[in-house]
Amino acid sequence: MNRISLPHRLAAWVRAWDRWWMRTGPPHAQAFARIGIGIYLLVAFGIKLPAAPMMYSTEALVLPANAPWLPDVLRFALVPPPPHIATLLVSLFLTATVLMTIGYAMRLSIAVMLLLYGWLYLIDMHQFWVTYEKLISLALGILLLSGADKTWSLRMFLRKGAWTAWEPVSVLPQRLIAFQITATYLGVGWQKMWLPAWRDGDILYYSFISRWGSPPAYWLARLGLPYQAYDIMNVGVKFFEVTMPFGLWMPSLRKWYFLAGAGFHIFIAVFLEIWQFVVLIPLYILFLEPEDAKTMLERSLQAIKRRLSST
Amino acid sequence: MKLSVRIVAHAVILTYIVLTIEAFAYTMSHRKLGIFPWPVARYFYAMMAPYQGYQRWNYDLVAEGKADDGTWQPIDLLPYYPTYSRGQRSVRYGLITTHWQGDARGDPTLVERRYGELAQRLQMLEARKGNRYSAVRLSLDEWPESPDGFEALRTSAFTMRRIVGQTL
Repeated sequence: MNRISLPHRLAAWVRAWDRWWMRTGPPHAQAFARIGIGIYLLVAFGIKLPAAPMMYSTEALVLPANAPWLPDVLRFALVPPPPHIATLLVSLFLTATVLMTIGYAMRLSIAVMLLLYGWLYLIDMHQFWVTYEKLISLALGILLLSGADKTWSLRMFLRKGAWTAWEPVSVLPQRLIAFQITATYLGVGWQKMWLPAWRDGDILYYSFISRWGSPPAYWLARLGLPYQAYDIMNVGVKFFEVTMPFGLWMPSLRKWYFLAGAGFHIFIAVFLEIWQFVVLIPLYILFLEPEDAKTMLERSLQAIKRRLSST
Repeated sequence: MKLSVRIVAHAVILTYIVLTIEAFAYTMSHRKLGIFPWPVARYFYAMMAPYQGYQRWNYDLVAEGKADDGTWQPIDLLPYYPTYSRGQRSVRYGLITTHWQGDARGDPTLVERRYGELAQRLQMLEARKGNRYSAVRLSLDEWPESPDGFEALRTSAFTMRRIVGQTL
């Protein structure tokens, strides 16, 4: 009996695996992620636009990447451009971001953004090419191959006459980004179980009064809370991060982990001035099944419309 | 979907998963499995391993230009680092990623050379503004952290200054 059922079970497992990664579904979760990433990048690079000459041009104190691996044909990218060209290139990045966000010429826009991200890396950002920059550039690379513009987009408006029109898309990009976010939380959380620095609450106290500390963080440190308070905070952070990669996938707990994740990243933004991880909050939608995400997002939109019309 | 496309897609998924496992293994043990080239695996490792430790001291990059009378004049670096938070500036001042690169490549003088490049560029940029210095030197000030403020203990008694780069 077992000899017969094992191949069947394996075949069923392979079919389930294939279906989970490869089926098609509504594009709403991916479209929401596209818009979320777009708004984040518009803020992050919009701030930089007026300062582009002082950040990336011949007027800037740039230290282009030490990149012996870069082919000769691309080494021009290591030479800072004149100020007006730097402004033009950042403007081009922002234009492409606007187009991606509104869902018009999405693939071309993302390709332009990735090329410019590469240039920004070489000219300056290699000095601070941190977790969130890597996550966002990877997510852009995945969205490049997605159908994230197949709803809530100018593309669909022009084709079908309605922003809310949609076509089914492959769920693969949604799964890949959700998988990467899971992996990020998994590593971030589980390494804290053995890292010496995360043994107790000292890391939080000293982070609050470090270069990352914001005025509220210094205020908190000056309250003179007992060290046990920081130890408890440390346990809380570790509990959240260790369980987060599982909680995000558990339908019964997911809502609470979404809220906890949002609270955690907002806390970091307020107390440690590292606001860029808030971009993960809209991406939590990718953990829902595409159909559930569509229902939830459409209901939320209708509720917003009702409130707006009633006021 | 065509079978060939499906096979390629699954190959990509499996590669992605193995790559993530390699990155996770390094995150948990700091040992390389060597399945993928390290720069590729490191990209994925870096997405899952931020904020591993902390310091109990602060630092700041100090730039000075040598005037005609031989005195060292302070150069304000803040205009050269617009829009960055203090933490982001600090990572750049400390050339943190260059330290990692130097370690990874077994190049112990890389950081020193890069500070030299930075000093040279600063000298050129200052000259364009009319501040012609015969030399520019960069130093790192280090002082203990304090809840009273980032620079609260940046006093002569607590601050150690060391030169990290200088033009000829």
